Amino acid sequence: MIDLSELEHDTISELINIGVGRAASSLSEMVGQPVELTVPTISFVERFSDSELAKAPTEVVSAVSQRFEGPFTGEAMLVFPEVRSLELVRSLLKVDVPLDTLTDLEQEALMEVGNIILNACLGSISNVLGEPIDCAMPTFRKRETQALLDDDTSVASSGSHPVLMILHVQFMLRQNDIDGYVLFVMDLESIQMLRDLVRRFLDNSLG
Amino acid sequence: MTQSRSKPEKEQASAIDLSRESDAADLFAALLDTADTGLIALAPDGTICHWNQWIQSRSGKEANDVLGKALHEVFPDTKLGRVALAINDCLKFGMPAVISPSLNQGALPLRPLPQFSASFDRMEQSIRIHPIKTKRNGILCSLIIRDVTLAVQRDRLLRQQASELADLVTQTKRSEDRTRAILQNTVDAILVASDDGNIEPLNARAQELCGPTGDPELRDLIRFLLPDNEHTEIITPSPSKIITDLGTGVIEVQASTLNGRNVPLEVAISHFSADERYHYIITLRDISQRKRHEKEIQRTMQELERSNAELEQFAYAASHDLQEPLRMVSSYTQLLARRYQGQLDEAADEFIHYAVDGTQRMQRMIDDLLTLSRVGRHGKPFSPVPLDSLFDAIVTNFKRAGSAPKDNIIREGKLPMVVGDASQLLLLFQNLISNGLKYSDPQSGLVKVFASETPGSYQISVVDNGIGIDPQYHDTIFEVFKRLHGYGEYAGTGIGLAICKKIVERHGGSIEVTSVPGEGSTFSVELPKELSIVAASQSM
Repeated sequence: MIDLSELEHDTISELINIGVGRAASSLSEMVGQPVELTVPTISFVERFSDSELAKAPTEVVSAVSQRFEGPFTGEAMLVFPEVRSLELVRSLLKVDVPLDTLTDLEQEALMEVGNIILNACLGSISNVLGEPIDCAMPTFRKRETQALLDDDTSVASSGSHPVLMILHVQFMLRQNDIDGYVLFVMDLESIQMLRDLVRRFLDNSLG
Repeated sequence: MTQSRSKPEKEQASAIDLSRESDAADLFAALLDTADTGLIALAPDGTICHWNQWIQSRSGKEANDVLGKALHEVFPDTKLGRVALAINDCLKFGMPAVISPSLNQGALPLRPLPQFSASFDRMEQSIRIHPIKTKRNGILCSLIIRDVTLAVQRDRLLRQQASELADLVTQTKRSEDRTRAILQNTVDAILVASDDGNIEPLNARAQELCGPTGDPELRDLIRFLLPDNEHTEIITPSPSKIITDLGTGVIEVQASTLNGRNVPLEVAISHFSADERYHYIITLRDISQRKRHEKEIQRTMQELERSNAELEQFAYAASHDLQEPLRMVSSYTQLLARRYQGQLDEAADEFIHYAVDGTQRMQRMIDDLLTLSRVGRHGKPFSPVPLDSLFDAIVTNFKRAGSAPKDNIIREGKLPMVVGDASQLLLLFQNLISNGLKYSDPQSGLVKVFASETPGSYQISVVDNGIGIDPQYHDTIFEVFKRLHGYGEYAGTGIGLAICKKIVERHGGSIEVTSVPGEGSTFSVELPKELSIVAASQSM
């Protein structure tokens, strides 16, 4: 289904890394402390249940999700186990009195962090491939991993089988490292379009 | 958000004619101005093309003054930073943005509402930045600003309260841990019994005694000892289990642990009320060590009593048996003295004189030794003795013997009534007064006797104005045969003060001397008001 050459895979990885690097520098500036972001792996899976993330189906996760439309269409999501999301927000906000659950304000902060990262990834892809992408406002969801993609508005329900591009992202903060995921949920057509655009980009730049 | 907003506008449009451009413009302008959020629209070149009523009043900047300017010209401190970047991304790439109050405090310099101005310099804002695609003008950018100062204030308050609560919990926990540690590490076993007969061990030692390897009968034993044990079934313990002396009020029980150790325990019971119920706190103290010591002391006491009795017996027998040959020597030397005085030469007279004197001194010493041994052996039972009449008797004795000038024995104040052996007390004070007179100038010598009182004892002092005693001898003068002066200077056997000491000790008291050489001595006898058990048993 998704046959990507090593070069194509590397290119996507590079685009994502450029975006993520930009997001990290924005975040560092905002929170006044060094924030590093890396994407150690990018993988493609056909079924969400095959992903690393789905191995703990009942774990509660926090997700910031942003739909996008353009030559390829789908939903981008920054996902953390809830505990990690609390850690992340609290280290970024330097909270001295942690409460048990994510407060409204913390949730909104997490949304902003997700927005910055997802915008940066999508922006980087869109910019380099020369194809504009329209993004919607981010939304927040909190649910068990197994229900993460159950959303009426998600492409998942549009009939066609979704394909996932999963980025494992690592936040390196002053006190600790926090692991999360960025998911790109697209239908097969969209992901093929993405591959085609990457090929075109490679042809242009190599040729 | 813009989409959802535009729907009702279309429905309302049936009331007015939206196809007329002026009607539509009026409606939209009114909607934007009545919104309870800040609305700013930026043209593709970044200049402000809309500035609603809300943002006018919160920023203090009129629309006329800002339209056509870039946002950073109106708010210079937004030139760099999150808002400017987000606007740039929005206009250039059509990216929406969330700007949260937590990560961007007071992103725009807006005034907080008056009620927040005391704690907030700027309004706390939650901002959404949207790209707006238009057919004619390309991408515009909208900023929707909500005032979330109240939420931020609530969040601060919540955290403050959570922090206080956490402190309180920590404090409580620390105090509880400390109490638990104290309880756990107490040597005594502590148990709590409720009125339903349930007994719960509170610490490790109690667990040990009542646990699987402890004494299986201990709980029953405790139930038996509780004052209010009507509600529970009581198993009367075997008499060997309770080793208490009920007279002393101390409860002692014998626990036999399953590993075969017998542990004597002292039981203390106190109580408290909680949850409208009565509870007892039972403290069990292992008194094995004390019991061993008690036995040791008892044995030593018996040993001492036996050896004392033996000694007294020996002293008595020795002095008694010595008297017989001495009397023989004494009678014949006296006979020699009477019959051959002046018939032999001078040296013989002198020798006979020394022999007679020697036997007389020896006689006195043997008499005194007998007296000393009798203090312990032949004491009379104790009875109340008025020291005033005792004093009078002593003065009479001295007068009769003619050994003292008139009025040189003085009683100051009243003397108390004490409990003791009258004849021994007479001997005691007679010795002390006699000593006082002996070591004083025969003409100006003066002995005073007076009493003072402490809560537990009487102190009777005998004060003289004699030659005094060097402090180095203050302890030794009470020993037998201890003399500080040659026999020629002051008469006496050196036993008098030893007798005094023995009498005082038999009465459970003490005697000591204070003195300034050349000025006089004070002998103080302290007698307890209530007889100690030892003295009382000896008086029987």
